[in-house]
Amino acid sequence: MMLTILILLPLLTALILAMSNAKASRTVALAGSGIQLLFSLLLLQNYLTERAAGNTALFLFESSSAWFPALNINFHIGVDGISIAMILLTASVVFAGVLVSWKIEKMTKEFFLLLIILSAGAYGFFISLDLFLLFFFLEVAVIPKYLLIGIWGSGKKEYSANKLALMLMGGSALVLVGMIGMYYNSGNSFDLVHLSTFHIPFYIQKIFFPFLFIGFGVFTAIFPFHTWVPDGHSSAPTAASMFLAGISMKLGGYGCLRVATYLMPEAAQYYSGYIVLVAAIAIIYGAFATMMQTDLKYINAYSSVSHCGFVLLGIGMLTKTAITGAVLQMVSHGLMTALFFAAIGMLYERTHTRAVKELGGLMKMMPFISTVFFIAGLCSLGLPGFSGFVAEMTIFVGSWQRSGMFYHIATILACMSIVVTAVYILRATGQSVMGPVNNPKFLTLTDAHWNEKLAAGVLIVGIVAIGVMPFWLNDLVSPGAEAIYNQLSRFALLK
Amino acid sequence: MTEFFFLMKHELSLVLILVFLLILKIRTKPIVNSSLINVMNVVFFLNFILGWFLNKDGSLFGGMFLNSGLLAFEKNILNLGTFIICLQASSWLKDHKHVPEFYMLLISTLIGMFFMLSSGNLLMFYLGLELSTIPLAAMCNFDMEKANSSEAAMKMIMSSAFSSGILLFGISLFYGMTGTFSLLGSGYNFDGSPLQVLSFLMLFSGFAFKLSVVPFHFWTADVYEGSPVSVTSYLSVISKGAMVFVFSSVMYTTFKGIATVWYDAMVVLSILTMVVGNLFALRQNNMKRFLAFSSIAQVGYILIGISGSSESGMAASIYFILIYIFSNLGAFGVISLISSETGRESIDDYKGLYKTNPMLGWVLALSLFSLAGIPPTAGFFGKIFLLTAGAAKGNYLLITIASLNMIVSLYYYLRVIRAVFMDSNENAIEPIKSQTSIKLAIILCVAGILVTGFANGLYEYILSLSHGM
Amino acid sequence: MPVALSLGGIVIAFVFYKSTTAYPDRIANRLGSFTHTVKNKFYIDEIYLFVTKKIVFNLVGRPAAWIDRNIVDGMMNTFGAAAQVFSFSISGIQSGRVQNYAAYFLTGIIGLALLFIYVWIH
Repeated sequence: MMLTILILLPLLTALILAMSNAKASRTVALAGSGIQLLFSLLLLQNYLTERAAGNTALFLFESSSAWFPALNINFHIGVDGISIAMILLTASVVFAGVLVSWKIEKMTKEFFLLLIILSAGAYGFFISLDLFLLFFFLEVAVIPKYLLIGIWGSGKKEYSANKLALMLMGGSALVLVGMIGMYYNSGNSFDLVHLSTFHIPFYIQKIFFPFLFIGFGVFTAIFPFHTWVPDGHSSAPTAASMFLAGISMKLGGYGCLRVATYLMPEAAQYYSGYIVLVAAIAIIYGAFATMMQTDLKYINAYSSVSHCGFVLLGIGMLTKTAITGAVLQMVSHGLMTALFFAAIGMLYERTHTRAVKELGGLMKMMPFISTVFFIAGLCSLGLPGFSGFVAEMTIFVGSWQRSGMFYHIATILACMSIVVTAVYILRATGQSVMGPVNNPKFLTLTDAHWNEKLAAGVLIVGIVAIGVMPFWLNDLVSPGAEAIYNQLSRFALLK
Repeated sequence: MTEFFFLMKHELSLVLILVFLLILKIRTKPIVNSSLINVMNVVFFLNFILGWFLNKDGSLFGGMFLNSGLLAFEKNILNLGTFIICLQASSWLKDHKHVPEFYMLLISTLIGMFFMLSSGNLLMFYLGLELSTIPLAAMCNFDMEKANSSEAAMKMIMSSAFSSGILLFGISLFYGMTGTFSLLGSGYNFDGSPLQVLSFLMLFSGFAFKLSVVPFHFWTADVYEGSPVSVTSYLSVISKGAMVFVFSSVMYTTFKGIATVWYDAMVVLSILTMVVGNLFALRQNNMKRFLAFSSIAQVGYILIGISGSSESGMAASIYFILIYIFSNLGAFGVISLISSETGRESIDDYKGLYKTNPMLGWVLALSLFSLAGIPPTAGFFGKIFLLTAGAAKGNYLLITIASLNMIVSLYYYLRVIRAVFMDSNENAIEPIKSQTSIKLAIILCVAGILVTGFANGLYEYILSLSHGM
Repeated sequence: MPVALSLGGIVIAFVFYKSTTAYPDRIANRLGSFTHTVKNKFYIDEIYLFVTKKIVFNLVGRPAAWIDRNIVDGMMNTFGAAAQVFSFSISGIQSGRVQNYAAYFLTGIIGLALLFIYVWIH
């Protein structure tokens, strides 16, 4: 019941939005996303109560009703800790996204409508326990993203929107093939719970695992299918960038973990070396490519490639700690990158430039925004006390547990990328908010408004809450990660 | 005796309408266009509603004419599509000189299709086919003053004649082989001797022509472009839908014995059709031509569904046709309205449409997303079910090619979306006020696009009807 | 032990800093070039700048960014362009002449016949 409401709330908001006028739409969107955030917290609380009461079922609040019985497709939903964490992330990012878009002028109603539909897709994706349903929600989100970038974007927006839509569609085309392949090799079932108990033959897994992993990987910017990220993020309006980097890329990570790895454990072990290789390349290469960027949004977009590489690294290492770390990194990067994009958006709205060289000395006029910007940067480079440190540290510890020279080298290389991250983050933040004021026009600019402060506040609370007290999140997600790990060790291949 | 009326109910009611129109036409008093159009819209609606009641299974004339729940359902789908097309045509027809004739031709083709669907015999099938084709060519010529339209009619009739010749050749070989025209396969066994396969080849090519399967598709784009928009939508939706119904049932009953032979042909043709249809659609600038090629590509997906297992493949293709009717007619409804009000048909003309006509913009977008197979529109369900049915034989390469083709098709649908929503245009199409009937047609299509997919009962119903096959 | 050592260091430094005598200077002079190095923070800044600016930026960062824009991204764009080019190259087939269409129709039938023969043989 809780989960049905979770998915109905955004749909209801969208319905009211569709009927309201442009002026009222932002209030409706804010109210809708605010209620959704509160509801997600309530869901968390209910989940924890249930767990504290000793319910050890893997998925809670599970419910299943037949949808297309002839094809064995069910409306099967349920959540574990990982899903709850992702739902909380989605709710906070969407709430902050609505707040930072408060001043949008062009086609206001349509903007919020698409944003809310987008969030409905994400919620649905995270609670689906049926592959058909999961795929449905995965694809729901493609078109709103296209329109958000194409209509409200900046720069070469049509090109970026097209590229994003087509590459993501390519990803989901691969997922579709993998999904149908699993269906016919598991006694005609799309059900995640059934598939996890059904042992798909190893040679079938070997065929379809790449389809699913690469397909979802495109969403999470797997190398070399990451090129939609820089263009898409930099052309998108602020809220869409926040959603894209904060949530949309996590859909891919979640899918890689929950669908590809969990349902095809042997193939995951078989291909684990390749995953680690690709992830390590993404981490290092993304970090170095970031160094050369001069546009703040490009910097954050490329750094997202690098940071999402950590997610894939964690998944590829296949140890319990590394998988937990991958989930932590998804949450942490979601919050941190959304905050980063929000801050960039606020700066851009005032200065009308995103070039690092043209900015400078903004701390004097806009202490709040600059501080937010700095916090996002520090979290990105993994400073203790913020969520980034917790997540990356967990991944490194987990990765090191995987024995083998190759895996150790990959871990060391990934660790070293932190130094590169520090270089570009400190350069970008330092040059744009510290130092002398480059442009006299900036002297008249004003600091954040209430909506921007609230948006940043919500995200910072999340980042610090994870950074200072990592155990609550760790406890929340580790049963889910453990289930995936158990699945891997049950069908152990590499012993 | 009463059985006769029940079994041929769909055909008889159409004949009644036809007679009514003839009587109306021979009266000397001139007919007011708008009132005739309104009356006909109501008549088509009643015809659609009545189609659902008092259906019976059985056969007439010694197995020449069959009826069953599935066939009645298919006829109802076609009735619905025709009703929507008539609603959409009102804006184009209101100033036309030959409105009664248009309806007569339309009804004749529909009767032809119904006979074709119900045929238990190749002769009956051929009669129905010709009855549905020849009036259609006349309809293509219904923009009388346009040379384009005459060219379309000419191309249609020439190509049809050619394909009919091939088809007749196949039928005569079939007769020579089996000694019967019956499609039901009682008393003979189609076991795949060379001559049988030759006759099958000819029949198959005739079908492929009507379905516009590559490389038998060349007439499609030219005919679609030249014909009036309403006729184009009729061709692309009703005519094609009827053909898919007949094709799938013939493949699954008469030619079941040589399924291994046609399976490979179907795979090759579906890949060709998808790829070529998509590649041609990439570069079109005329909306009708663009939809013509996109509808060719859609046929490729239908072939995938048919190539799979029999029952779910059959159900998926019927379900897909129903969804395709809503989505294609949604798109054609907008195009038809804009074309009849402003005469503009190129994609460039659609730039900035959203600024001036937001409602039309959304409807067009929704229809195109449904054609592209993007959720939450019904097209998503249709396409996934087709692919799922097609994969039943384990041909995952085919599924992979099909899903990669979905990317290409998304690219060109997005081209239109981009023109409508993102590009700015000094000379955008001015705000259009549409008549009630057109609004109704558009609402029907949008409702269909949004509801048909989620309505799980519908798919189950179609599947239960297909069980008998 | 390390604690004791570092505490000792702090004490000595404090004494040197507080004392007004020339004693620290004398020590510094006696150590010569070493003091110089220390004064320049072991040249760490210079080395850092050299490594980052000259080596990392030019030899790693720039090529990485270039490869990403031109090779990896170019590969993705090439797929799109290839489809366009191919689409253009086959556009002549749709000539508008019905007799050509009939010829293609026949070719299609012959092609299908060959396919059937192939299937039949195997």
